[in-house]
Amino acid sequence: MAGDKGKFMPFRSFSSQILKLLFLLFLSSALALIFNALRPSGIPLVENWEEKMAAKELPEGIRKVEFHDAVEYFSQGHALFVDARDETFYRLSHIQGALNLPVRDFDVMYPLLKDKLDFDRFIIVYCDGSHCEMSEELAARLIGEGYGQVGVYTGGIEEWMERGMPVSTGDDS
Amino acid sequence: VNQPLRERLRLWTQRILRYLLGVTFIYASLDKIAHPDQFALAVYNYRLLPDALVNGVALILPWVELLTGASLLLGFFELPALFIVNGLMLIFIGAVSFNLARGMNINCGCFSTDPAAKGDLAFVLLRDLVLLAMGFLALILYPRRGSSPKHAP
Repeated sequence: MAGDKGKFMPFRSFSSQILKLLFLLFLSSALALIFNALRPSGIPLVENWEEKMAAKELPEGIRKVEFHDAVEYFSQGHALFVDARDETFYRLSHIQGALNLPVRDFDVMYPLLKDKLDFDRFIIVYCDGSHCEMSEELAARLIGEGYGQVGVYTGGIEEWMERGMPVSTGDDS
Repeated sequence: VNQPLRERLRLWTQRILRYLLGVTFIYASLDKIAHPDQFALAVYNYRLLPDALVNGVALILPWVELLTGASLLLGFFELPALFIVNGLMLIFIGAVSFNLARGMNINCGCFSTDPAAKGDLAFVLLRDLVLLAMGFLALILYPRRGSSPKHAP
């Protein structure tokens, strides 16, 4: 009968499959590392991401708002916080009092919210956390609409919640 | 020898699943291999790995996908490749669920490393579950030794 060979050696067959699996993983790793070493656009094997992210500069015209500044603006109530994420995430939690202007739907949403976006108020845009581009994109769009005072709170909702600052859920804009 | 229809159906279903998964995995690997810096950023944004491991995983993972996909398409090392597929899908599902639960809207980095290509994470989760189901089915339909000839005529 075909395939009868090896029927009584389940362990041997099992370990040979494990070896093949390890071989596949090993070969992938080796090819990945060799390819990365040879290509001009290779990346370092280990990188200090914390530093890299902190060093990231915002484009000209956009102010970087650190946590303590954000808290101060929040407590004084002078600035307007704007959440750049999609509505679903805004509804889950957002900085108390923040407006939702999803950057993805900017063309539709901006005209609707225009009245609430005061030209002479400092607008602080935020999104998830230290690295999401949405807040930066939204800030650029707002500057394009003629807003002069736009900042990005780079810590985002993630840092805000971690530090126990007030958030709201649902729709309050 | 006339194989029972059921057996042939089983073999062909398994084969089709294997090809679909193979093509999907190869396709998924290409953009990540082309843009390691951007994929590293996507990996970092998942916030699951210590910083020191981010680049290593971002470099190796796409090659694992490529070789696994190739194994499935060409039919060598098929069983280990299927185990890797299922293992990876479980890891991806865990990673996506974790970020979905935290309300993060990150770039999934699944098929495209372009940061502007942010999709809906819930959709990504659904897609991953379908791929896991396919991988699992391909594994349980895998022709067992001694039960039937390995290849359909």
